[in-house]
Amino acid sequence: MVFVLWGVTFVTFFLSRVVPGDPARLLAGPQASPKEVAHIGHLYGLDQPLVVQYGRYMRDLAHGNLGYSFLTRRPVRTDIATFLPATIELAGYALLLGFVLALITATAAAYRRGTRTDVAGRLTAIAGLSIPAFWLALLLQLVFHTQLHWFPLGGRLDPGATPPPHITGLLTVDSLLTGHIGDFTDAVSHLVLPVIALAAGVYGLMVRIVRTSVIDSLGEEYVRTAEAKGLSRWRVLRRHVLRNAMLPAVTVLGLEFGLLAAGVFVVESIFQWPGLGNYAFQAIQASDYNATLGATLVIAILYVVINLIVDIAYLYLDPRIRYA
Amino acid sequence: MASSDARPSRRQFIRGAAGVASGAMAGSLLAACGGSSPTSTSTKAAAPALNRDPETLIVAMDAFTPDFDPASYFLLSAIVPDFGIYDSLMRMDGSSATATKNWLAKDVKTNADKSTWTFTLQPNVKYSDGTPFDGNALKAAYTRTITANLGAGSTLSNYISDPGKQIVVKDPGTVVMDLGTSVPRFDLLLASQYGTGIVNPNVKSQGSDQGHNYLQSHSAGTGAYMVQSVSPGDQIVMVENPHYWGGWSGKHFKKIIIRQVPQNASRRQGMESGDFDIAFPSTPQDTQALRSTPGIVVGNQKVLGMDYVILGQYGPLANPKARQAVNMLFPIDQYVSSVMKGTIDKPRSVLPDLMVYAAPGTYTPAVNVAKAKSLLQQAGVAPGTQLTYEFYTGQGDQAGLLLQSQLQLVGLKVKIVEKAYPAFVDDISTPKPESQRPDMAYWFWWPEYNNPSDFAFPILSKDATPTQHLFNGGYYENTSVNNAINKGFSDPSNTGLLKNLWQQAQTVMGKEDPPWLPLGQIIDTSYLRTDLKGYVPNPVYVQSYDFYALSRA
Amino acid sequence: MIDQAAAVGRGRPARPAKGRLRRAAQTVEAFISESRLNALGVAIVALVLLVALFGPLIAPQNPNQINLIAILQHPSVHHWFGTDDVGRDLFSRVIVGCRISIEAAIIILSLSVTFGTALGILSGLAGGLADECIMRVTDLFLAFPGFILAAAIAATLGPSLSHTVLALAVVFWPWYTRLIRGQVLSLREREFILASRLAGGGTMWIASRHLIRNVMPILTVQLSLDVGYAILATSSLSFLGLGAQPPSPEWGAIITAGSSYIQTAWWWITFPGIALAVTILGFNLLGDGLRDWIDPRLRGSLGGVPE
Repeated sequence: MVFVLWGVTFVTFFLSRVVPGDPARLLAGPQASPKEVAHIGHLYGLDQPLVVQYGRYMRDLAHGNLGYSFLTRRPVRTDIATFLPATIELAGYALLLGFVLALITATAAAYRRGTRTDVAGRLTAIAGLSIPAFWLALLLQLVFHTQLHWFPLGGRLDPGATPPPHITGLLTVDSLLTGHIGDFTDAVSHLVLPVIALAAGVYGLMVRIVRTSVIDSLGEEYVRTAEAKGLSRWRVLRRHVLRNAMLPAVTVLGLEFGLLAAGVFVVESIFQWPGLGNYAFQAIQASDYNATLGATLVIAILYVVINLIVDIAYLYLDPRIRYA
Repeated sequence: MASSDARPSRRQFIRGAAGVASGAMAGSLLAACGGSSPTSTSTKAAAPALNRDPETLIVAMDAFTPDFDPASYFLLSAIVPDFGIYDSLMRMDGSSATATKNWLAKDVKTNADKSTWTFTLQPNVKYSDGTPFDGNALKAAYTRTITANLGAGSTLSNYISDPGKQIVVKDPGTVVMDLGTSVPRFDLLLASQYGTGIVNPNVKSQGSDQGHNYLQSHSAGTGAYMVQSVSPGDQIVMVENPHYWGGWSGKHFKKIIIRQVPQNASRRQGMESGDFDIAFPSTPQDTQALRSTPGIVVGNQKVLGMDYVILGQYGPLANPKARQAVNMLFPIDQYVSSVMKGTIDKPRSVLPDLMVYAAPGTYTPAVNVAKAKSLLQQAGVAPGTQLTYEFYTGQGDQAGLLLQSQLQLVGLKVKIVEKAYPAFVDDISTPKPESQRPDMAYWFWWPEYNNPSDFAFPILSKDATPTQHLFNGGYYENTSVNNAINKGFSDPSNTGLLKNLWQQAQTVMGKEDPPWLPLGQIIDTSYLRTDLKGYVPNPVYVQSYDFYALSRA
Repeated sequence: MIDQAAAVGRGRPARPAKGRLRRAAQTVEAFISESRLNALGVAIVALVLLVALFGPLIAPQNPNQINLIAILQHPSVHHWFGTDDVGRDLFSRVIVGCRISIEAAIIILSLSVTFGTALGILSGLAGGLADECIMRVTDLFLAFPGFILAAAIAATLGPSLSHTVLALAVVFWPWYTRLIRGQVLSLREREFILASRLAGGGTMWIASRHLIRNVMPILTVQLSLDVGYAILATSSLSFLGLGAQPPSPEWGAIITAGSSYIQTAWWWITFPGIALAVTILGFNLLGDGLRDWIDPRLRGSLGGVPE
């Protein structure tokens, strides 16, 4: 784990330094004299040899200091604290929506195995994985905003609206907790289109896996016994089948993360969602070293954490342990 | 002086977007010499419904930079908010490109040869935190700007290299600046948006680097508005400066919100839905559509800026005849009307029409393929030669495509290379071996103030090549041009001589030794609601707004 | 068991005595008739490959021909998909863009499969510290959400299609290393290896034959899925401006150019997007169907879908 994290910082650090572009010049501006450019470079420690810069960075990192972003003119740590909740809110709802829809589709497909429903389910799942997130996002904008005017074009809230008091950074949660119902509906209406765009991939990935596991558990002894005993299908479903469906869904969370990380990049950009994906992409483009490093580090940390959660959840959900 | 955003991606800086039926001669329709855009006298229908606080002005820019330090800001993305926060001693008057009016300087006197300037300051001016502004504060602020080396110091330091000696505070209400040389239009320089903002010198105590860090998220000016909050990448909220010396009687906006809206389509949408009061332009097509949208008005102020394609004076285009040929192949009329839909004005000289000593008529492009072919032959450029054309994401792709297809007519190949903005800036302003330099590059420029030497020096002077880390990316070198530039700095009061020198320089650049392929004169085509009163755009203040002067009808 | 019930409908062909070609044709036929989705996948892939192959020949107009009189025209008889902001025919551009996507995918996968396989074999055979190291590095690359790594590499090298292809090859190889290494490890345990060692026969030759035979099915499945993902990733990176450069008619690049004109020219993003989605769908259907076809037991356990 630690190796992975270290490796990530190492690779990203040197990778970002190789991007053509001189941040000192960009910061100082076109009209600045070479003297001023040099001064700015010195101010931000950009004139030191790479190794020294790396050493400084690692030392700062040890103190939790992620450096200073050229783009936003403030500490990267602050930026991440500002932008991460937006991404978590978006990705979280996408995961939820994708999973719930996948569950419904997969269960229906599993119960009606081999029929048209099954085939349709499989098709929609593969479609979800095949449609590029960026195109889906644009299409949703075109249809549901430009043509139908049902949903806003982008952002988290209407321009000029004041956000609810900051508790978690998740606008839907914060607005409910503080009773700002108007803000809640505003936030939800802005979430609809980007969440759908992101959820498609999640849905596609999940359906197949959940379907398989539902099919498998439908064949299990204890399920047939339960049905034989007269337990309603619903209860059997809830009690046994779905529980087991959760397991592979959880194990694939790591893959979901990768899918979401990629989708978040483009979807945030198209919907002007002020999240980490947007931040990271702009940082890469603008040669903002610290921001790039900070963002990729956070993503790597999240990946590690999610894998840990998966491992723990696996222990909890493994039926062999439960029904032993 | 170029205002360019440090962040690329799908950004349009000030891409004008105006609707003109394709095929029409857009140039003549848009010859607005200093005219302001119609607001109150418009025959348009009412603006879209306003479902928000009418006393808040919402401006949608493609990107803003949170930099409230007059010693460092100069990007357009920072100037838009800063123009409402900081004052200078002078200001441009109305829509004039050459007349200034007194601002923080209540009265201005000069000596006979205009080398010593005496300013009587406005009384009762306070900074946003209540500290009084006086001669000492002015000297401290300008000394800081000139000596802190934060990026915007060169405007003033050109003439005031030793502020300690050259700026004299006779008494708190009077300041004398001894420029050491005759500068007849020092007032124009002081009216510039670059490097002349007067910050509260108290910020020096706000941390190392003289408070620069503090000023990345706080403002400290004498202007009408002050920063209340900044969410980078999202918005800046500015509120009334209670101590503003201009007072708050009459109708003014109480709050200004500057929003970052990178997507073109979103800015247009936001105008149509009433979410924004002012927006940076979108695509030419969108602007065309908005011109006929009720309730929305599109600006048409020609500004002191030029779009052009740098032609490198090296490699295949080293010979002036080759560069003449390129100018003879580009269908400028079609570009202006069909591609840009009249959102730029046809170039009539290498300098913008409204610039001092401009000589419109020195550049008269006409497509002539046969002549171009023969010129290329004479220049020794064989068919099959490959040229590279570079642009940065968001600007210049269409011009490149057009060049590519036109140059094909004479057998030249154009390789189009798109670069991220930082890499692009590197390519045209840092020294590189010839083989790595682009032969053509899309660029634009405008001056800090209305002075052709100021405009031309960083982009055309032989002392401003990438070797000096400036923006003469084509390594252009021409004697008459250098003469004109240098004379403009050294002997600015000799107007007769300068007029001739610049006439000569423009003729040379327009016909014999072209440094560029001029693409157009920039037009500020900001989108505005028709219920906004008081909008008076100025050609020098490119794409920035005087918030205090605006109000809602 | 339910599985067996499903397996009854499998319809695997018996091996006829006649040539391989006939066998192959029958396999394909059986595969297609197995499920409608399989048929759809094969049909789409076939169409896409045909268009990729003959694209420039069948495109009605020059995809790079600028026509300032016909800017932003909506779909019509002259321009089936309409035109863009410099008057180029979008139908021709989409047709020609097909080849670009397929070529890019082929190169990406050739590079990653070759490199990944070589590394996987090395890792599996060498064992010990070398294996450990290689696996750690592989994990590192897997830990990085591939898309972001590819974006960073492409941004570093400079925007261009070839750099994007290289960046994606770097992202795709770990899967193949893992795959091959796993196979090599399991092969090592097999008796015949021991037996052939005792007999003094060519271990490598036998091993590689078995390796290939065992790996082929999984590899085929992974490859056909990966073609889809490679196309998706390439177009996504082009959409972000890091991939194909103008005037290349790569689908992602076309869509990104059209995204500014979404209100005035809906056709610009719609048709290339449909082409993109259908192409990726076809390869995914094919890969998915192959996965079920080759080994029903492997359903759902093949995870490993790179983005």
